Amino acid sequence: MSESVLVIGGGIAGIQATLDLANSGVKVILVDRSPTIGGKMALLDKTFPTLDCSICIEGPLISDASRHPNVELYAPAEVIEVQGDKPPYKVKILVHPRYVTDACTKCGKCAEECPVVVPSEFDGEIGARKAIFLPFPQAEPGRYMIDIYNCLNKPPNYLPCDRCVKACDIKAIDFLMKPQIIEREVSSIIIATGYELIDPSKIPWTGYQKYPDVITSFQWERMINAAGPSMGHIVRPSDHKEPEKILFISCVGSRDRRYVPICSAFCCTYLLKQAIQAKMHKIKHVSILYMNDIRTYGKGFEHFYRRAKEEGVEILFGKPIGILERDGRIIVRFENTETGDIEEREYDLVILAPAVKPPKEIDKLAKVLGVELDEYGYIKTSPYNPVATLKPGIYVAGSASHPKDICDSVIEGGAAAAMAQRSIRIRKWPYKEFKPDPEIRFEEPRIGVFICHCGTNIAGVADVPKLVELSSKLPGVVHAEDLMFACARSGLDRISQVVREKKLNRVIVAACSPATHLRFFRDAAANGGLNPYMVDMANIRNLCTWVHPDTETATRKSFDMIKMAVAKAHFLTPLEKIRVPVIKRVLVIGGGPSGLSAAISTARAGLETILVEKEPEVGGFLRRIKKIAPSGVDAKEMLEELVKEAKEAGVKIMTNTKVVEVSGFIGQFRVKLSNGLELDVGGIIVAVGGEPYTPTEFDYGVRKNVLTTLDLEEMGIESLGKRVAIINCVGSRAGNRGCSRFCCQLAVYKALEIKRSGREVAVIYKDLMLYTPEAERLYKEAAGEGVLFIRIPRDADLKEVIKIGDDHVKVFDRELREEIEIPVDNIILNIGLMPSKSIDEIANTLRISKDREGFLLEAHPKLGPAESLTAGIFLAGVAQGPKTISESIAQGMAAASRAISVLSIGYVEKDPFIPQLDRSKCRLCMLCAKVCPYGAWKGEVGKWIEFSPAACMGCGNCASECPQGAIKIPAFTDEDIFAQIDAALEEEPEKKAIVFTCAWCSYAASDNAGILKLEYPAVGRPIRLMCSSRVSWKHIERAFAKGAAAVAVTGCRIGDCHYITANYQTVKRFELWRKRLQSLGIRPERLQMRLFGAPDVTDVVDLMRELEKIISTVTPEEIKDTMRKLSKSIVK
Amino acid sequence: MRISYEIRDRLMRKSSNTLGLCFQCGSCTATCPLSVTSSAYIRKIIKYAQYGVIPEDEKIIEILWRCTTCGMCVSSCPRGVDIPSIIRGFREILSERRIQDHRITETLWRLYEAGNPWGYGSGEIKKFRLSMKDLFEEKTSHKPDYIIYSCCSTVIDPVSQKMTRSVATLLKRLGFNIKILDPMCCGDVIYEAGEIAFLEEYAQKIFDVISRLDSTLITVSPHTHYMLKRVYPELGVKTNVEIIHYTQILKELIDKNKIKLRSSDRETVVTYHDPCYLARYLNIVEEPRSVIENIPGVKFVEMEHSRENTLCCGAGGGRIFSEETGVRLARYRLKEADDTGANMMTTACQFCVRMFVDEMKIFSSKYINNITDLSELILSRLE
Repeated sequence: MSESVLVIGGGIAGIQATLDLANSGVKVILVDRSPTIGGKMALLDKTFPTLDCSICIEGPLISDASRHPNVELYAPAEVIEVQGDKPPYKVKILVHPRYVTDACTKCGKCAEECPVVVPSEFDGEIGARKAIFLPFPQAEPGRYMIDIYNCLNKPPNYLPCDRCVKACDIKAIDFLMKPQIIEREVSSIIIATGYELIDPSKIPWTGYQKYPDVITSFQWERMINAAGPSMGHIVRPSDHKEPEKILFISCVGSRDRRYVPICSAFCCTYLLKQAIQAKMHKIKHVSILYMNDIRTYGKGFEHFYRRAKEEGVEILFGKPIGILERDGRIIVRFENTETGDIEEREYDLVILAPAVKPPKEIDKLAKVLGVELDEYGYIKTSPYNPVATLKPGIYVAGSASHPKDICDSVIEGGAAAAMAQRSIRIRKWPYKEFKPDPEIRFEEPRIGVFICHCGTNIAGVADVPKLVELSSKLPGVVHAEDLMFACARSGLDRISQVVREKKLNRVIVAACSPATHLRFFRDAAANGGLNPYMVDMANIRNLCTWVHPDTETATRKSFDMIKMAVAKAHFLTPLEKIRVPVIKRVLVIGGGPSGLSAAISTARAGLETILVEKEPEVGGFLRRIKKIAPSGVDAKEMLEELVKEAKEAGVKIMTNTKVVEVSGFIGQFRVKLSNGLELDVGGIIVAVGGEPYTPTEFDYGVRKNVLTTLDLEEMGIESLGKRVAIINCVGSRAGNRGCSRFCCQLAVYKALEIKRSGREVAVIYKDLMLYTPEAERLYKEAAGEGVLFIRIPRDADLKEVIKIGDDHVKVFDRELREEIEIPVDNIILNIGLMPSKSIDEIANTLRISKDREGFLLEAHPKLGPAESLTAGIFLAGVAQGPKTISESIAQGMAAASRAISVLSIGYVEKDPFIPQLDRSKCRLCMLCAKVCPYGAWKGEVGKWIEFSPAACMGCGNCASECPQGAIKIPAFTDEDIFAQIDAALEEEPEKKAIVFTCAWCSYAASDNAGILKLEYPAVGRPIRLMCSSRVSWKHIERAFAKGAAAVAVTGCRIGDCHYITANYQTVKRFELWRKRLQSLGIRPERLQMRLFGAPDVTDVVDLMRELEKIISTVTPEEIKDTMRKLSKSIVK
Repeated sequence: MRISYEIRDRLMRKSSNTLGLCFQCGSCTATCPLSVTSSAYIRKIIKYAQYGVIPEDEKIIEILWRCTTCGMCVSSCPRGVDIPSIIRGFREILSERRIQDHRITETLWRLYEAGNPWGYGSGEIKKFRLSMKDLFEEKTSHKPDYIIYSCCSTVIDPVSQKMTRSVATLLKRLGFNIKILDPMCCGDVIYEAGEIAFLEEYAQKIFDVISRLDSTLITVSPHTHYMLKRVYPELGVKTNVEIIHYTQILKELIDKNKIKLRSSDRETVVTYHDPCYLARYLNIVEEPRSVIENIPGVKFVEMEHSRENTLCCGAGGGRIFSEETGVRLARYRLKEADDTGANMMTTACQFCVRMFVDEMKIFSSKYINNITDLSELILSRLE
């Protein structure tokens, strides 16, 4: 039987599935119809609700997927034939010719010469490309392609133009390249073909394409993107002026019988994102026109809505019926449904959110695969499994089955991979082992400096040739050169080549962010035979040329940064990645739908699986409900099915069992259970579920006729009187609480059932979060059959707008702005989901964080939704946030997929930034153990000390705490840090501030400030550590002693620390440092501390301005005085 | 305000259950021709309907009667709510409560007493019959090829009369035997006023006329066409003969090459105004266009709002019998026609022609110098 999986579509869902499978030793054939993988996400500027730079977080995944030894990537290519009714399937793939061979170095000379200019589909057609092009810099396969449709040549016989051929020095262009047909046998197929947007010009009222200043949201993404056609400047296409007043319009074709009858699922929230970004770009008047509902159903989305309002975004409601142009401005006519007034508002720029539709030719693909489409043209899925099609061995992920945001697509990508895992028996990891070049020795530094142009991103501002020249003269530097794109395959190959030829033993790449790119350069150096830990970067793009547009300033700071990196390089030592063996056993905590489906998936993938459930029986919510809304699937049947499958798969289920204690780390957790059992497991999946909200409002428990949806489930509809009102959002979307996601679907489902039983029923709601086609269809049915829907104001307090009496409810109707009285016999409170009562216990036992609502915090809201921040601990179901049963099942499988991909290889690798203890200096004070967030240090004061490297995550907190200086963190030693301080302050220290950052949020905030091109004073000289807790007094002292005018320490926000609680120490120490400065007679204000989130770009700017201000107050005498006071420290 | 499930159900039925679908986006209000200057409250009217509450606000009551039932709101509704039917439903309830536009009440009384909504007597009908004598023989053994049902306004309105005459003349010149029925009110105003009991009674009269026919019936008025094709069949009034609108027969004859048209010496740029009932209610949009495009030497231009997005002339929904207050819809439409640069505006409804001809008297046009019915235009170009 074949052991390969075919993934069709290389968007984020397909990439997630590909990587999960490939990492677990499965061969993946990844096919994309477009010239690159990456899908829509690669073209977005930021992702909501964290405002992460989209390509920055997806880029590494694109690159991983394309370079993975278990992945065969074909693009542009399409699946043209599939043989078989069940696995294995014989598939034929047609690979279209690129007309450019893989010798291409992406130098871009061909495109410069190409005479054909066409609108670029990768820039929403507002930018242009040539007929020979690269979709975007991070595109994979990473080589140019000829769009033969637009090319002047029509191979093979008509080749009048040879400009590109002539321009290409390495002869990579081959017009005689032929289409290829590849045949493979696969055990599963994953469809991840994504979505498309409708063309708004087909909707007459939009004025799209008639008026240039009416654009789509996708064009906005490209426009605001720093790499987009307008370089991140928002301008009106008509006159290139900056707009002052802009309007975003939702539901352009969505939820409209004439175009797309269903919800597009993510526009409501991305409009909030775009509006917030517009505000950050200082656009004065920013409004969003929502049709009626604002569907902020995802985790954190409701907070995002509030943030938009706080930022001054105006939220309007209504649907435009016409868009016109008058005197160069765009006029939008609509009824403002809040005031009832007809408005004709004028805007400089209008942005449309076009409806989502299935990709073209999906019907053709469905035919080839033999799978069914639903009435809206999406791939039809099983009501029992959201990623299973109705054909065995064929799965679906992401928007291919209906529109989904990135997070849900990632979950489904994982879930589909978990399904595909079930037929895998043989796993292989054909990884290339790093072969060190024995001729490379480390004693005498032989440093190579590579300076990247990043197109014009760096070279357009800083004087790169000058930087090369200056760098070549730095001590230890034996080679310096510039590269057009260091991260391109050609650039990476060049680095390998120079390392090999010149026997470089240290490499510095001055380019972009090490957060995204360091690993590529490490790999490149390793290919040349150099230990990868001998490579470091200077981020002269995000932290310099993007934020300091002045050439001289940028060049000077860039050189400082290179100098700092070179100085540090002297102290680098070769390190080996740490391999920790893992136990191929998984513990699943919680036996609800998510836990069960997770357990089935891990067990089927060959990992021994133990599931513990604290209740006497498994089932979770499935035991408390009869029918699952909106599919109508019988809950009991589903549970029986799951339990049967779990048993078949060999899951060991322990009921009445709780987890009492957990120690250890990824691969080797030791778990104590309440039944006395002790287990060693490699990974833990937390699926502890949630708790239905227990209402205190609306006289619940007092009035007999007031029920909850759960009561109704038990009592049945027959127990209800003739007239019923359902109140939505009880316990959701108030105060700190976000949307509970499942309840609107339930309301519609129940209301329809009640109505069909011959009763009158009204649903009182704020927004109907009906984001799936099934839910939207059910809503239409309910409305058509006479269920009454009553909207109350979105931001209202339920208790203020709904008053209940003995036989009636009085509701303030948002549409009429009047109170309506509804006679009722029963009131049903549609209750939301709260974190499980045992969530604190679980979080403490596992030492994982919670979000602001009290659910478990995921590793990343978009790309890591099914795992915690602690490696080896995965999250599934309501434990991570409210969701539907179907979504819980998907997330259960996604968590399993992550666990399988991590554990099946048998070991985990991690960076070797772990402490080395000098036992001769150690006094066994055990302060290290006190501050370690992972319990990696163990011992007794004065008696013994032990360190478990596998538990350590490398924050360096212990090294800072150690009073003896007995702990050393490789690559972050005191010497490294001193060297950087000294290099930074070599010239004009009185004009500079040393800025310590962590490797996570505070660095990301600076990175992002760069992406947004926020300009700030060039006073800071950044030193990047893993965590702010690595900073100790020694470093502060050194900086001031060397004449720095100011020092700043930055880190993640409290609670967001990537080392759980490490930065608590930073805060504590900061107070002490200031006191110490005070007592030394040094102004404490010269030392600053800031804690940022990754999106807090303006805080970065504020800090830099603050530092500039402080520096201006520091006199030369003051600096001299400080230096004198601290002179002793330097002697050391 | 208290919900009435009874009224709500009644309006739900009226709207074929589309009432429930409204999700309050306000497209209807914004698109309503009565909203040109201030809100026409349509969205709120639908919400009241969902609650089964009769609005008390006089401004809203006035809108309920001023609505021309043009159906523009339905075209722009993303949910497909049958708004005019809901408005008619409200009118029905209001009529039961004797809350009516007094002009509508008077018109209905005239219709009840005189047999037509204009109040003319049988002498006038006789006169009309005599005036049409040249076109058909009343007493003949020949079975007519076509029977023409003309609007009751034909008797007293020269515009209307000209239209019926040109339709009849055209057919006659093509060699057909025709018959023109004595003009009789099609009951449109009863239907629009929501006087259901009266309409049921009146349906009998219509039945008496159309059930006895033995040849294809050609309607001149889109309103008549709608009543005969859609409304009466629901009340059980049916006929065995085919009912077609005159624009449809024109197209058919042109397609069969039976109508030969000639060019005119002057350049004619024609725009076509879609009557609401023809375009939106009956979906007859291609036929008139096909006819115009077949006239040699004619350049056809579309207005900004055309086909199912047409703008109302202001006469529908019984409004022809009332004074227009506030907004004069015909003016907006004339302006749009003028903006196309056409020198001739044509349409296929006697009320539309009437409204535009009247408005033209006080409208200073740049290009439009001729407003005519499509049948007249064709007749004038017959070879």
